[in-house]
Amino acid sequence: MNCEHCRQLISALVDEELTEGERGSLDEHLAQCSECAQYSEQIRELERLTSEWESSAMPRDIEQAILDRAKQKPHGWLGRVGGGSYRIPRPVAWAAVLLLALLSVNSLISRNGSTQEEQFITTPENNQPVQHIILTQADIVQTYTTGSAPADL
Amino acid sequence: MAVNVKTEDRPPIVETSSNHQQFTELFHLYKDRTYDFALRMLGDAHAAGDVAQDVFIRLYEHQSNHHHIEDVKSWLFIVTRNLCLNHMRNRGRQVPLDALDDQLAQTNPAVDPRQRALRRALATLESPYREALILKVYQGFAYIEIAEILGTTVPAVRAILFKARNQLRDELNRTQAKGDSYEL
Repeated sequence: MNCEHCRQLISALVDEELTEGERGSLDEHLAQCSECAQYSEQIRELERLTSEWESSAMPRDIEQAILDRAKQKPHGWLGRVGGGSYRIPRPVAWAAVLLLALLSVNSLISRNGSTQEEQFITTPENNQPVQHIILTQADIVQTYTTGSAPADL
Repeated sequence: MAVNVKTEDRPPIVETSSNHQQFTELFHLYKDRTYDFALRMLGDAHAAGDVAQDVFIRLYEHQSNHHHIEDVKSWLFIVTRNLCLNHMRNRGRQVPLDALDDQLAQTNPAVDPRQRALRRALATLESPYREALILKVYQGFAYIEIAEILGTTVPAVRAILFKARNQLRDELNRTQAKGDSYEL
């Protein structure tokens, strides 16, 4: 075992992460190498020093702030709008809501037949329109899906 | 003497039907360790408080949105570490040494020069050496857990901790050479 490997094992020894075999090799090397033995003492002293730094508990005001924020947050995806990890920017969120509202209104009006399309029926002779027929969207859909016009046309 | 919270029981798995009560239980189980980790990483109580708040609000949102978390404890430390690194990147990676001294003076008015030197030396360590050392020495994580948090392997963690200790020892000896305080 070289000194570099030995010193890495000393660090792992302090962490209690050595295998039995590694421990045996380390002890053997330390018995023969005064420099590594000195290094071992330094690392142990460093460990004693670092362990004197006491842990800190979370301050009460931060604890309360977190619990309050969690209590105020709505559940589900709505909680993310304008806040949270995956933030949807507020303008985008409002634009999406407005767009959905407009589409809903449009759909409602169409169902009532207010939005209709005019279609000219022409005669082959003079190519002049002979009548105006008012088609609703439902008629057009039927024509496209069945290949034939509604019966009353 | 440091209160090293050794790896306790494996944390409960967050089921998709998590609720506010489950969040509160996890919060009380991990709040101090999470805050302590952030404080040692950043050396600034105010910044550590901000990071801790962000971490737990993210946990709450994950639960609320039915996102599955396999291991809550690892998840919390991974997120805390990432937020701390972001914070350090934004402020230029430097730990505010004056804030460190102030904090030490508040908790321990008779400031031990060895402790001051140690905290300053720890603050000079770069990522991932600093977090590896904190996770091992102060949080009591096993190598395999540190590997998961740092996104690396167990042999790499062993090497990182070896280098971290060498750097810490060298920095303390440099401090002593300048006549400031302490020699190992």
